[in-house]
Amino acid sequence: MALEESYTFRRDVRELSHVAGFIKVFVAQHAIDSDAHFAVDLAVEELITNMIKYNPGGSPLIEIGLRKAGCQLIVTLCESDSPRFDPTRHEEVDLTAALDDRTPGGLGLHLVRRVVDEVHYEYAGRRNTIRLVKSIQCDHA
Amino acid sequence: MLDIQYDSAAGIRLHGRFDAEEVQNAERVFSGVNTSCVVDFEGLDYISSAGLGVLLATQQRLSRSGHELKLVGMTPHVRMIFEYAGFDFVFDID
Repeated sequence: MALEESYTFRRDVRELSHVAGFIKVFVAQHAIDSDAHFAVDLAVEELITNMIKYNPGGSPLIEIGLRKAGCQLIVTLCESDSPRFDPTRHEEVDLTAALDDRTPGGLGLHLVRRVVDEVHYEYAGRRNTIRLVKSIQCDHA
Repeated sequence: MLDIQYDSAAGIRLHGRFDAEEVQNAERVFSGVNTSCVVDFEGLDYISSAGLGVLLATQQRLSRSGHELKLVGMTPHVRMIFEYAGFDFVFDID
């Protein structure tokens, strides 16, 4: 299997299991550790659900790319012909709030930033590109 | 896919993936919980903020009548997500 694979899916929460399956196959074929798998699995779901919920004018199709580069797993999420959607700009979540004051809002993007090492965003030609970098266990580090 | 088993005496057992695709399925079960309840996470491999949201809403509803969810048997990955979300302060986790 190539070190880089991509998959295009419909902008629909019912596609999440297919996306998770695509990630699962890639990490298994490249012997990527379970910590990195879990982190990327989570970050991708959180970003896709945010794209669907908060950027309804986005493209009906979203493309995910996975690339193993040395000791890193690099994930890209792209949508063409879409309004700007920048997941790196969000309000901080109050993690110490009392139970009644808690809301799930903003939690997803907070988790993305916690579980991956880098989150990059680019908007050019009406194309949103989100790039995640996650360190993986590597024998040659 | 998320499998949920609910028994009013034994509590709730979760198995599989608790993601945004499974929220409606989970809400149907958790909305039927009206007293303190143990939720067994032993078979749960994955949870996202969507799953956390269902648990948070249930905990907030139960707390108004003096009840709560008790969460047991989490895998290290799932436990990590609860800690990152600060949910270890609002749930009894064993």
